[in-house]
Amino acid sequence: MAEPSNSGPRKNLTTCATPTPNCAEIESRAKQAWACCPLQKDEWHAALPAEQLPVGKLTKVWFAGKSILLARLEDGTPVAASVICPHQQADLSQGKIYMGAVDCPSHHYLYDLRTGVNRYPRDVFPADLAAQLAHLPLFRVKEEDGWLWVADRAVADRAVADTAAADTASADTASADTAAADTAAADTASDRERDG
Amino acid sequence: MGKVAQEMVTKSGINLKTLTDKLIAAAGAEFTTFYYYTILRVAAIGMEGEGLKEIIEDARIEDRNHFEALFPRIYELGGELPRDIRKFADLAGCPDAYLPDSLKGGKSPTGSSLKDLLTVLVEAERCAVRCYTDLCQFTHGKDPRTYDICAAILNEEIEHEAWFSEYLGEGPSGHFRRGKPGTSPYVGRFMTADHG
Ligand code: FES
Ligand SMILES: [Fe+2]
Ligand SMILES: [Fe+2]
Repeated sequence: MAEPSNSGPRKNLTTCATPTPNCAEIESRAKQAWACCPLQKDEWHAALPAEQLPVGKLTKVWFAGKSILLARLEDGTPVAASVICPHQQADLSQGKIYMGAVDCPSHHYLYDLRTGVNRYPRDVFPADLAAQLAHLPLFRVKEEDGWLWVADRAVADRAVADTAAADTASADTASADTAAADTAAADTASDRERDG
Repeated sequence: MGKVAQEMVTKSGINLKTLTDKLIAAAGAEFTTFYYYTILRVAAIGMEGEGLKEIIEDARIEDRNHFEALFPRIYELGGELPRDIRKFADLAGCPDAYLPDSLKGGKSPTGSSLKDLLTVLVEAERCAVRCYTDLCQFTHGKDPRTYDICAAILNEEIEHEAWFSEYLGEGPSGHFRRGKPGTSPYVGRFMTADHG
């Protein structure tokens, strides 16, 4: 995996007054990373100078002891998400932004970066398989004073929960429908055989 | 295996293992898509489905051709196909193009089984376009032979996407289907097997 882009020497930041308990571990992992003592405003942590994230770019930064994905969508909106693909754990920072989604470099699943919802193959999979596709956890992010600030996750829990509920409901309906429709399909097939 | 060919690629700064992994994933996606398109093609029946059948056949045979064009390059670069076809299918760089629920009598997400079928097809082609765009960018200016093969495949994938997208009424583009099924106008020159 590539080094997070905020793992270089600390720049333009003052050391925070309240280092986190896992600072030592992060320090050793990120080498001199300022992420170990991030500039903090309440629950917001400075993640990256805003200018280092141009439109359409994806990057990996350290946040709260782990690396996360920062991206700037085509319309300029910054977003933050888990950097690990929920499918088979590929590094999403090696992927690309594609119409508001991150395109995983491994199997090209698409995750909507505003909601975390799997967009592809969810939109084409049979309902029972679509319901099993995990969503991408998101983090809150804002742009202020020339920096991108990240806060802990849960921003999209609502959207993800709604989608999961809809998936489950449609999988249930689909399996009920399938039983009825199998009979119809068999009827059509035997009609065809008769006609042919 | 091409010793000097491999050395030149390595010297250009490409990690051979990463490249062969990407090529094996692409070849796996072609192989599985060829299989799934067979199922999709036989399901394209009825007044509307019949019109679609020939285009699915073109795309299906050309995906087989893409596999044919890719695998010799994998071995030239020192890679190899997995011994077990199950593993090969699991490594495929794009998700499986399953028959939509509605063609088995289940629920239709778009309200029309033909539209569901076209959505599976167009999204599979879009996945292929993303996959080969990535390979072209990865090899551009470094590995001209792999780049040429991938660019030829990309040309055909873009046409496949256009065929299905036009069926969905997403806008005209002036593409025509092949004279004979699976002609592979771009990839044919990389194949030893008869094509079209
Ligand atoms: S690991 Fe990301 S799509 Fe498979
Ligand atoms: Fe293909
Ligand atoms: Fe294709």
